[in-house]
Amino acid sequence: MNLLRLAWASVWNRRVMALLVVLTIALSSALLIGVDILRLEAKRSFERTVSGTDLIVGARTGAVPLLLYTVFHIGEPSNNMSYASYMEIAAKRNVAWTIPISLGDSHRGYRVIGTRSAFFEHYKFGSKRPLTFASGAAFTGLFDVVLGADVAAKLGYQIGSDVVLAHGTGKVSFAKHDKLPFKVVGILNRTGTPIDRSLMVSLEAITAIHIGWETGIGIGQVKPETLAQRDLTPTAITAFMLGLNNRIGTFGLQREINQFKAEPLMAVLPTATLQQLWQLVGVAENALLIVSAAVVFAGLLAMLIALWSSLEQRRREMAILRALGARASTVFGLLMLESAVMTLLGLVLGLVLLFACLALAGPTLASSYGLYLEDARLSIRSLQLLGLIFLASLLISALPAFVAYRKALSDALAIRF
Amino acid sequence: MLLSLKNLQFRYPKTERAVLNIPEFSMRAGEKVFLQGASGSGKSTLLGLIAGVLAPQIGEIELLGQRLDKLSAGKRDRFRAEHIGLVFQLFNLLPYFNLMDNVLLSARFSKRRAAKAAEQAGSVEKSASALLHALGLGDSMHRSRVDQLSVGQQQRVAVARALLGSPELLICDEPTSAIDSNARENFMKLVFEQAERAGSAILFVSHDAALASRFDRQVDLAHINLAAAVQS
Repeated sequence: MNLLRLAWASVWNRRVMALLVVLTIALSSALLIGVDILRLEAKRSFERTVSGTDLIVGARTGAVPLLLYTVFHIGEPSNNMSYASYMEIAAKRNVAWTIPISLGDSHRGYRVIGTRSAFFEHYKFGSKRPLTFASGAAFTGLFDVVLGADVAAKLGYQIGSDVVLAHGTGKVSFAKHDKLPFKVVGILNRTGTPIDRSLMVSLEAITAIHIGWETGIGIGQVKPETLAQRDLTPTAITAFMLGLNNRIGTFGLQREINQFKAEPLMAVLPTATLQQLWQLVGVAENALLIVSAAVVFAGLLAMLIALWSSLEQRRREMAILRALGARASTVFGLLMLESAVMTLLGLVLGLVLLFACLALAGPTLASSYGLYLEDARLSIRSLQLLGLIFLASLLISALPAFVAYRKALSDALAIRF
Repeated sequence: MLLSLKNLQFRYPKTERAVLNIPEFSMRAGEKVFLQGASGSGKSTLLGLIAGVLAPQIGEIELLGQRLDKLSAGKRDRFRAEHIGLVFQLFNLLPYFNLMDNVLLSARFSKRRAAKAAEQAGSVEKSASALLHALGLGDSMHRSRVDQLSVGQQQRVAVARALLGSPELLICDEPTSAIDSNARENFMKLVFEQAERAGSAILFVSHDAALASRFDRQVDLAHINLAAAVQS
């Protein structure tokens, strides 16, 4: 007897119940795999952001905060470092390039990065991919600004648009550098990193718009025409990234910077610091995973309840099969097969739902949380989790199947209803 | 001898008293036996033993020369599939299969009966179709759902299934109790005709004595079962 056909016909006969079970398994497994995928994608998204940078240097603070505010634009820098120190380190023999970063201003919720054109040459993301321009080019003039792809797309800016920067990083700002508007000269291609949501201007521009702001409010803002006479060399920057000619010198330079005499500085290795970050985040991740595993367990319990309650009404069916010569173990196998069919359907449906949701939520996740699901896919671990759910479901359905088996053994043939 | 019971004793697990204590009972090949007994007299238990679903604590059950009491549960199940057709009082059919698929179930569980049925009519399906026809269920109904049938029709489908592939023994457990008396005569006639054609012996359990006259032999369970006397 083709047991699968029998199992399928029986499940189909109770399709409303079966559908509910399948849905329960689908939703709960989608949640678990979703958490797992988001976890991996968050990591990948973070790791994609810094590539090819050997050290990140800033005022002394925690390694993780330094990495977070310089590269990921999460949190606020606590201290600046002096421009002189930056120049001193940048001039060291083994240093190939540097990208200074000056943060603190924004435009309608998007961060402004004060930097140098070296940024467009040396900043790398993903597997060492350089930045490329969708239109225009790097800034050259004092009031030129380059936009990340999302900024341009969301705010509808084009080459030549006027942009007024705001003091501070809030979404709504009352302190605007409105005397000195910027012109858009370049728009970058999408990178899937926080660069997409940033505006890049020169360090000098940052200095210029802050003249008269030393007290924190814009008294005595300068006019553009008077700027020419001013020395716009910055006195401080937030941090800088650097690349080495020879990576063997990385730890030596790091030690040197950490013991810098003029002011307390620190240098961090991006990848090592990311590892630290993952250890921190790991706790929350595990909590999420445990909660979603509990949801899966609840889903499997729902299947157990459904199977158990169907046993009594199916005694007749089992008696017929026994009369036809089905072994008690066949009855056991039939029930197991049934739950295997329902679980498999549930898992497949769950994956379909999950990837549909990820496709729908992708843009929101990228714009609101900086989480770029560039290529979300099933990891080995997700597959292992799916396998685990399947095994757990078989284990759980072994209970009612065993009860049915015992009944099949002890019931005489005459089932009178 | 088709079937022979000797010194058969059976009690259910965790109970004190034996339900059955039958010193001797036998059936010849092709014989039609009417087994009468009040409810609770152990009829169903006896059928369970003969069909090999239950195993006796003491005594011998020999069917077609095979000692059932010496076979494992799995082998008894196999033996039942090959040699016995069963019809219950009610609800013999799987509600999610059509008439044809229900009848074909016998052949699906027994290769021997599938081969026999195919040999008789050219194919298993033709054999099933012929049986359904002979039992008054036309072609147009073969693919319909069984829950659309009357009880009498359902019982005839069950008989067709029990007789597919000509098993040596047809066991009927009060198959007519839910059929009204007009249809009952016709049902019995059809069962006899088809059992004779298949060469199957009939062990027919009922408390309706009016049916008994058709049979080769009538047996009252109370007479052959010593345990029953103690019980009542």
